[in-house]
Amino acid sequence: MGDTVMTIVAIFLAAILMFVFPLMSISERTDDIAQLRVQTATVEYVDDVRTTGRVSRDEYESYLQTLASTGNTYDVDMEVKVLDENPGKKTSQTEQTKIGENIYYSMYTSQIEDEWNSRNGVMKLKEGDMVVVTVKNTNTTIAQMLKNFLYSITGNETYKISAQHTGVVMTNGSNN
Amino acid sequence: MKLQNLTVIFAIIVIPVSLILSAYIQVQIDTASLQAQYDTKLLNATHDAIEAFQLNTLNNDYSINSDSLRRDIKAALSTFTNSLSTAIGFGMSANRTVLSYIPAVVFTLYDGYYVYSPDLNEDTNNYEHVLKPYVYYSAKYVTSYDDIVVNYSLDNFITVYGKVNGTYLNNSGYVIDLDSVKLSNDGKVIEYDGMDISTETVGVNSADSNSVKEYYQNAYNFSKWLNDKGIYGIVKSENAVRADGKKYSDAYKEYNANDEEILRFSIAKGNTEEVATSMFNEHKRDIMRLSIQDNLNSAIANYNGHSEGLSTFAMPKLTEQDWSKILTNVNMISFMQGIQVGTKLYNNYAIITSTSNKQYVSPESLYFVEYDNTGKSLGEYHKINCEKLHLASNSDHIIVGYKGADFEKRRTVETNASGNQIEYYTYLHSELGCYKCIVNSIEEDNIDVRNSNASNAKQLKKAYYYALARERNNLYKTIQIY
Repeated sequence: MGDTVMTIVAIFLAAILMFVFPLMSISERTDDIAQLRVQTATVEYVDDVRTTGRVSRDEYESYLQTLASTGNTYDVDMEVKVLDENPGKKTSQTEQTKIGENIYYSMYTSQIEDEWNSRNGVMKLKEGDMVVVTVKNTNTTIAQMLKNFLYSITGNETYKISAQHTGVVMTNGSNN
Repeated sequence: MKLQNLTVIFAIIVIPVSLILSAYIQVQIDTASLQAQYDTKLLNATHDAIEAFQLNTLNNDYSINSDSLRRDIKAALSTFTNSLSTAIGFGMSANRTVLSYIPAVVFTLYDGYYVYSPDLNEDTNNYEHVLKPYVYYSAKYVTSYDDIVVNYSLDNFITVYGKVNGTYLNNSGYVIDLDSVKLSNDGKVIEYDGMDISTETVGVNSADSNSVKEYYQNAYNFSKWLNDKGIYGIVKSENAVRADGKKYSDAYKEYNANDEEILRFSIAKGNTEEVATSMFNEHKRDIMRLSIQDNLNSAIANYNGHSEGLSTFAMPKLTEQDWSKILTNVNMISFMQGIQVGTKLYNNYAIITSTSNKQYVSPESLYFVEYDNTGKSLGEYHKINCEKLHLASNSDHIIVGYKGADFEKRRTVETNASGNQIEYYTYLHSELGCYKCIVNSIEEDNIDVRNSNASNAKQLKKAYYYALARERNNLYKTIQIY
């Protein structure tokens, strides 16, 4: 009797050790690689926007494709802060010893997409504008699933793969 | 064997493999993300430097003077090292340390470029970073009778000196299309490319009102001089010779040599400085590019020669897009090499184009103001292809263009009666940026000012070429011969 129980326990242990452990380990690595891919793609994409001064649908889509190639689904938030120097200029004109404040107003992903629709898929930026891109995965990766199964951490805001990059646009966008 | 034993053996095999694999991947991840981080940091530091350069030159009335310009560039370089060193984590006090990873920084300006790179200081017998002497974009053209040097610039300004048929001569000026010039009876330029050349009366102070006329007159005189002296026939790409006497066509495989007259501008045949692919521009770019490449290679070889690193560095290959940036505007290029990133050594560069400076008037940096028939400004400035300018239907309104830097804030310091220093911020032109084209960068697509069919096309063309001519005429040029 005791021997049977031992065998069953051993089979369970063996199953965990032989299947679950390698699977966990491999899926963790997959997530790490996905994280790396997402991080580098985001940095590259944002830096490209910053150096060219253009947010184009083409490049955005190829960026999304790079993200999708990791096998996960993502929630991508893009924000462009457009610099308006006019209020500052007005202040300095009324009071010459003062530097007025510059104002930024934000445009988000859906507004940028609207811009693309009305402007041949390219939105130009100027020096001084800012770009922010934030990415989070929306699906549950295998590693997350196994983790939840073993030591359940659940909740709405659980993402494993995320990246953010931001910076000031360095040049005025050109048509070409 | 018992199942347990098998499991244990499996675990003994798999666990180390998995651990090593995980460590290995972690190292690769660190390498790639560190590399991306350094890329961004280098980009940011270069941008900081170019911002410092713009701010300093804009507020320094003497920045056109070469000594003063060197000071501004040195200040920009110190901004660069401070910014990079802080971002990398060395801190500001150790900003010299970061220099050992910088084989070269290049400032490409209007008529030449500066290289900042390590060189042997003979007083101290140390390798130190120095700002090397200014290098002009120049080439020598040799035929059996003639031997002349041409200095190029980012636009159509050139300087020529040397011996033509045994006589020494020199001159400098803008090259234009002689066939498009219409002269009055007393030899004055009154029309160029169908556009009348006259005094400006609106929006320009009296000192500048004749700049456009001067520009076209001088350009005509110079182009005619080139023609009369037979220089058009000498300046051909196949005659170009390096300083060491070797022909360009023999020294470089990628060099294009033919016997076309490069300086003979023709609007009809598309050989002007405005057409990016014109003969003149192609040849000028070859010269500029090869000069920068040679100097950078030698700077990096020099860096390799004394650096104690385990590996030698090669200059990263710049893309065609990078070159076209470098050859059409004022830029800063910074190279960074040798920092350990994970398993690799870092090797990359950053190029930032200056958007507003006093060194060069690029067509993209011209902004336009509309004045009503009483000479009063409508209060906004635009880009040439802004819809709002095109829709201006009032034919008695006048559009005048200025260089972008004139719309930037300037700082002046004055001492008041009680001895306190007060800073004033002023603008040369008080117009506000148009919300369409300036703030939101919404313009029409590329508009060919020469052949536009907008209702006020003539007005626009005049505004554009007048602005270009006036600003270029007023630009101080170090290569000018008086």
